[in-house]
Amino acid sequence: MRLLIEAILFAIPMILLAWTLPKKYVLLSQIIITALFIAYQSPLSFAILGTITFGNYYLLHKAVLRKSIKFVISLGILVLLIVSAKILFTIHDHWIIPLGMSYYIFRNIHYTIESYNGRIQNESLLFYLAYNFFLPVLIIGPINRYPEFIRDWQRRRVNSEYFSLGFQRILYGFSKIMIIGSYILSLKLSAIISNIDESKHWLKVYLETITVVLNAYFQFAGYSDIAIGISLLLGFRVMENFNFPFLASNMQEFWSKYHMSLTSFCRDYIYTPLASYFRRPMLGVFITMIIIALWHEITLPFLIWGSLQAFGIYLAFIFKDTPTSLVSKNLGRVFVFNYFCLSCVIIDYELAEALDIYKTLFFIN
Amino acid sequence: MYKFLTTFLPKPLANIAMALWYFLLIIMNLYCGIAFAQGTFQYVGW
Repeated sequence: MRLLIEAILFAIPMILLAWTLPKKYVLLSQIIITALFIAYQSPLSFAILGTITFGNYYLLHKAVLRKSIKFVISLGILVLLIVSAKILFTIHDHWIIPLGMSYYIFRNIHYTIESYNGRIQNESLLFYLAYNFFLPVLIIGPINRYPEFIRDWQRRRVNSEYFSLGFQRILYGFSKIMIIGSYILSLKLSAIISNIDESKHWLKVYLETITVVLNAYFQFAGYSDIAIGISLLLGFRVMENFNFPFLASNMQEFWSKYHMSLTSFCRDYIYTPLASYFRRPMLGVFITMIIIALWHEITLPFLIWGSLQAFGIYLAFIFKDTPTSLVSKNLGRVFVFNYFCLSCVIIDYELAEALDIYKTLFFIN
Repeated sequence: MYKFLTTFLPKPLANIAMALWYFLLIIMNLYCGIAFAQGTFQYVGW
């Protein structure tokens, strides 16, 4: 929460400057303020992000090498960086991963791939720096895309609709974090749950499990709303991260509505190449979900969690030709909600505690 | 939400309803924020 408040405090002058400075200085002001924010939070994170940004830009656009070699080196270094960082920060659990690293590495991977494919038209260092040092999405996404970022910049004008929508999204974001997540779910509902009689132990455990997952969802969705809202105030329309995922009637649909910026990134750059190379869509799904899980943390619980998500999508794939009715759709929604909540037990709790919860929920003595 | 309200309310009433809705959210957020700052409840999240 402290980080969010400080990010907003840095965003206020950024927004004021964005609409008062001449256009040619606006991106520069955004880069400087974001750089100051990162340096203030963690000088090490600032050094790492700066090195990656300048290094990758130099390699892709200035180095005298064949395009394919540049692509392989850039992608190799970025993948190695994210994997080694995740392993190191899992082994030394008192270390803190550099601010926003998981997200800006993915943004750079996107830039490298699109640059290799020739889809990046504007190769200016200023735009690349502005894309990497964009405060609203820096800490927890969404993983915005470079072409959209440049398009928004080129079309940018004073827009009252963006302004009102931006303030609305920020208000909704805070409401999700403070009112629903922290107050209703974590304070009020938890108090009700803790007062449930021990004779109804099953119900108590089940409600606790759901509360933890819903709280995490509302926190994340709230942060995403605030990021999207601040971006709108700056004149950029960043991609959505959630689209009512718990209304999905199968796991395939759920994962197309949950953390959409990450899943669409993985769909474009992991699933599609794998599925078309092996001609086995389910293998692509399995590897993609494992990568999504390990991107969060390289641990056994996350590996199991990723496999469970892949299995859920496999079930949706099996039943995809089943005729749907309103009843089956609603039953699907109940299944998706419970399946996701129960699968998250393994990552929300210690392994022994998670096993105890599963034993209670599935009546195993 | 505004579009939904205008399906059954005239526009001026929908505007008032939206203003009340935002006012309610702001008050609730302030209440939670003050309670949080005073330590009445713990922030559970990231």
